[in-house]
Amino acid sequence: MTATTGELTTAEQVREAIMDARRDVTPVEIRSGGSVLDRLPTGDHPVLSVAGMTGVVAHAAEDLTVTVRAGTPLTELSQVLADAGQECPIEPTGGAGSTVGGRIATALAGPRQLGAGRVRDWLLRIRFVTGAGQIATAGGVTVKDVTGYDLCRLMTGSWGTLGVITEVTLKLRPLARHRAWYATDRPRHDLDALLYRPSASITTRERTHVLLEGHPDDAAEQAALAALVPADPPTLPVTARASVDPARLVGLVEECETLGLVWAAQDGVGVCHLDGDGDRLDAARTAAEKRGGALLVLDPHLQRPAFGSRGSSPIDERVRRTLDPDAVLAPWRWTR
Amino acid sequence: MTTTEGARRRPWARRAAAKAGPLPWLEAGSGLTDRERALLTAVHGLVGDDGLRAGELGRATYRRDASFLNADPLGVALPWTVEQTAAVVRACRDHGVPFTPRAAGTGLAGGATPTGEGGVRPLVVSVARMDRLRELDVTNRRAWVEPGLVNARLGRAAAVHGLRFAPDPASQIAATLGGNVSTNAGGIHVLTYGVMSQHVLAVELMDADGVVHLLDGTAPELAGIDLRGVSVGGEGTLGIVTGACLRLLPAPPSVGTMLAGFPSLRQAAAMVGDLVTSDRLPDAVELMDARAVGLVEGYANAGYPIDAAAVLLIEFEGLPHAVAAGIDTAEALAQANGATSVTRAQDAAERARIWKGRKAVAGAIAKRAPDFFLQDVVVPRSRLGEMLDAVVAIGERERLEILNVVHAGDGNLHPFVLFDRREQGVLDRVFAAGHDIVTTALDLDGTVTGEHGVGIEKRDFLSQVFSEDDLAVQRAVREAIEPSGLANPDKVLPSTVGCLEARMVPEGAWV
Amino acid sequence: MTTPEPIDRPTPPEPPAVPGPSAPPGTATSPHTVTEPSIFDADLLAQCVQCGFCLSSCPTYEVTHLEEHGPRGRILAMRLADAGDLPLTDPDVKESLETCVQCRACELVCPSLVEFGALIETARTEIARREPPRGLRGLAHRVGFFALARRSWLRAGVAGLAIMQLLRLDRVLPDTVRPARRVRLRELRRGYQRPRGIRTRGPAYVFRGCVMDQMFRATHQAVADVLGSIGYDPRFEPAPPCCGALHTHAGREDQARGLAQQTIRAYAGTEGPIVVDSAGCGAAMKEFGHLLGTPEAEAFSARVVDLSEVVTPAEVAARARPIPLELAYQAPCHGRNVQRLGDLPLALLRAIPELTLIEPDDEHLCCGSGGIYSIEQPDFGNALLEKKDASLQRTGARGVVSGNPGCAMQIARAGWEIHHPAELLARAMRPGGPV
Repeated sequence: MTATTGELTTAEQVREAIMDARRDVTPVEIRSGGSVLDRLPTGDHPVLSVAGMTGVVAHAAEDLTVTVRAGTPLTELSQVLADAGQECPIEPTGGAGSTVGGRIATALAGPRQLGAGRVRDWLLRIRFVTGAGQIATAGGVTVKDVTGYDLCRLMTGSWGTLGVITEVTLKLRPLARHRAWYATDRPRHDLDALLYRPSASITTRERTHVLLEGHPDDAAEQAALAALVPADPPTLPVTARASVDPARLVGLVEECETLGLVWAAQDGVGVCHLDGDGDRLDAARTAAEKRGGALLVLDPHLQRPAFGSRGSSPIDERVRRTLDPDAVLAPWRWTR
Repeated sequence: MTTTEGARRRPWARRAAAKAGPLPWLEAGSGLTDRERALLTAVHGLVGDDGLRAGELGRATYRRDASFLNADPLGVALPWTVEQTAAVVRACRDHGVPFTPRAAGTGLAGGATPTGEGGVRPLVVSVARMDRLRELDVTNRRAWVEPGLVNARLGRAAAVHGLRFAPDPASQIAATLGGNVSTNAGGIHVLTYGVMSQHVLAVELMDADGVVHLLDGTAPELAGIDLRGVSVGGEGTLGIVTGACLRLLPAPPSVGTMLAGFPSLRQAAAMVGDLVTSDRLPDAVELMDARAVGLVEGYANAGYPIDAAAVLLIEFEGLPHAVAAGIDTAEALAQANGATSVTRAQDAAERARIWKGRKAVAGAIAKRAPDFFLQDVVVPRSRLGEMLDAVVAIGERERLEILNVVHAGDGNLHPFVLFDRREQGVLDRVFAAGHDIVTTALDLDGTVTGEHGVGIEKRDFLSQVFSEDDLAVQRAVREAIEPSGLANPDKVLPSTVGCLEARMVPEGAWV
Repeated sequence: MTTPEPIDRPTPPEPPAVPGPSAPPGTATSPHTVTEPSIFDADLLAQCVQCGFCLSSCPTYEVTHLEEHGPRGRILAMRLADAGDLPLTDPDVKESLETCVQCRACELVCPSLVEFGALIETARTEIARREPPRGLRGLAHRVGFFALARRSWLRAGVAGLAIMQLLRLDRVLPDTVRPARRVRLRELRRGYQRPRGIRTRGPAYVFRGCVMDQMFRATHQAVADVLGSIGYDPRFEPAPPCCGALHTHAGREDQARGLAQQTIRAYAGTEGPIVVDSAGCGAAMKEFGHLLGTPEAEAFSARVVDLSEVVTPAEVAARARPIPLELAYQAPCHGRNVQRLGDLPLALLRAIPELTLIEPDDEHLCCGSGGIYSIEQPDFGNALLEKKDASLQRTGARGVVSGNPGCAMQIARAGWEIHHPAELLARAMRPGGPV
């Protein structure tokens, strides 16, 4: 990676940087905190960083919304919200550098997605600069809003290929009164029938870890019902993560086990965290893609492409070409 | 599970739906243009006597959805299968005629009203006949549905297995899931469960070439562009939803319901703010003002406090201790906000009685006036009090009775404007009030529709919500997904200069 | 509120860019425009806001998914006719209105409280007046509806049917007309017996009606037995010939009025509940007040009750012996939607030990019987029966409980064994059971 295009602090500056890239026909890599990007073998490209666009713009506690700039670290946001007894359950999955913009752009799933829903479900409004240089807003600051097309969802998980996210408004919820991890040797399937909407469930080779949030008495009763014992949160492998339809997760996990990979599966979410060598991960990638999913390698030393060989539909292509007509926004993203 | 039934009943149904004899509307002298006649002939060849309506009554019954906006369609095609739908859509493409997707027609924004570009009458394509529950996957808590399946039927099928489908728009007994997907429908339990989009895992979207694209959102990440998300709420402008995979949730083990009366709208609104910032979010918070309560009590006897200026219906779902604690907190907050009465449902019967009042609003209105205009706006919850006061003022100014029924937890207002269409000149006042309610919401940082959709009704307000650049991006995305421009062309976005005003439908002409 | 102009007149998009048919019905140039006085009650017709909540409750809409086969489209058809935009006898309008099975399920779900039954009866009466049935169908109607009102004619007809069935001659009849129920001559000769027992309550009158009195005597006897077992003094007289429900259904309102008056006169001077074991008759009789608009009729209607309104589940539970059966329960539309009996009949039956009742998953949809509907609209009738047959099979039950003779005969056509609730109750409450 070469040096950044300079400290950008406003959407207009981002727009200028994109217009420069278009003029120079030089595609750029979009970067924020670097918690994910630093772990990808992204090649040597100019970087457009929004790391300088930080800060909470407005926290409307009574409206359960917060407007925050894209480069704001999630830890900083969480602190501001926690002071008001609130949270946005979008978790930093990539380490301390995780930013709000990066989380939305990658949509990487934290374990609590089982109970809290996907990253995309917490986004109310988004401001972004398209690859054509338009500064656009979609959505609104109210919790219900069907005004216009839902570009919030479009931008979530687009990995910086459609536009550069500069500011988002997120939906909030009260912090749970009680929060505790438990573990059990029971088969996963039994837990489904016994537990009412646990916040997270992570299965490893040894056992299943469950996160219960809410009223302490409910948690105690649920734990007793399912014979859960208090436990530390599980440690997740970090070399790679696969994502499949949660209905196909068990099959993927079985294959990873056969391959001799270390795995931890987010039950009901469809993410499987993996540790292992490059050849085994190649095989796991094949297993994930066979199931309509994908695998992301998060270790540049493995000499493996970050993303697999995903196909792309004609609609995908048209949308991308429309929002990024000169292909300046990380056009290499989805390809080897 | 219902495959065989669908196949079995079809022969009788096709006979029942078919009109024998010649097709007078196809004959020369019926005033059809050559293009229109050619398309109707082609479509008739594809779907037969039972799948096409183009006579006067047939067209008249498809002039509009449940909104006030109407237009004359070229005809109505009612395919039984996805294959037939694709063939009909291709015929439209070949003849350059736009099409308006439709299912139950319970929408309130004119999204299914068949308006076309430049005076060209679109063909209505009804997906109502594709109404099977394709698969109910209890283990993975999801359902594959066809677009014509009624929301409540899915709920019923899911309930057998202890599951529920969360989006519950008021129209759920008739509204279809295809329509719910297309409008990104809401309902009473949005506060914690979220709108339709959160419950849609995948969408099958048919483009104007009749090709079905699976917009899969089942995998949580690394899935490419989330076209599923854009298609939800596309209102038929991005193509026809021919199938969807929906998320089901376990039914809550415990439910707590409370009714509280307040001496002023402002106090009720303050209570909503306190509830939302308390340490447990209710699953539903509904507000009704004194007029609504008065009408409902006179009609349904649900035990609402008729001396209150506003009542709040508050519900918690989930595990029993959390529910009990939530209700305790709500009661304490109600007292702190000056509530004059608090009723906690002790059993299922009392809970049903409390909900009976909320659900009897339409019936109570029917006893009062034959017509109502239902508005749908959202404001940030902290502006709810101001918005409610403004609605009252608008009613007084236009000399109209307006009831406030509010999904208060979401800041989503549904003012009912009561009238009798037979009163001369009343419509002008009704629409003036509707317009003012929307602009007031915008002034309060709100937005023009929370769950009913944009359709035709709200599309010209979008220029007040978004900048030119915002709309240009939205338009570009729409054209990228549906380049032919034949899918429900007039809806959602404000028309660009030149081709708008000539095609305006006379608002309220057919109230 | 004033009524300055015809309501609900669709106005064309302006300006119509395409000439000809783009001008919708309702314009001044409409060739159909007629200036006849409205046959509809303007307020009733104005009540519908076209929300469409009724659609999925409507059995015919569920068959074709066409608006014109649903309540909203039918009301629109009436409005177009009322405004003079399309004649009531326009083939499409007529077909839209005549395919209604009149189950009135739409009334139960209508948030705007539209009285659809009153509207459709008005429309059907007017259609029958303008275009009475002709030819063989007209003759069949005249003879049939006359015979219903004459016990001796009906008796002769049913006896004839019994003989035809005995000789298997009924197989020449078309499927939709041929009764599935086997009539036995023995049944026709059978008399009614007033049950013995202690009378702690006053008299209760078993309404015998027309077809029921010839073909379902055992049901009437069962009603009397149940009433007797809880202390009523059951009476089989007076026995007016017919309530006129089918006549109302067919738009023969004058005949219906005459029969209603005859029925009311027959009960003059008596007191106590008039118990009706046919949901369709009960519904019609409860609406005599509405039909005739007289105080006598109102008072009479107030006396009409379903069996489930005079017997309580507790009374059943205290006396009933177990009936170890698993049956599907299909509420008759006219009990559910018109009499609004709700859960009463089911609650009564569920008081019988060991009797399991399962509702089909489309319990709100009509089976397609609808008086003579299954004969007049065989395509719809068969489509509805097939749907109902499928949902009944999904219950896994071996037999069906239905409290209406029309439904019983329709569902029996699909090969189901039918039980009347009164017969199950009588069997469970036969003397000798627990008290």
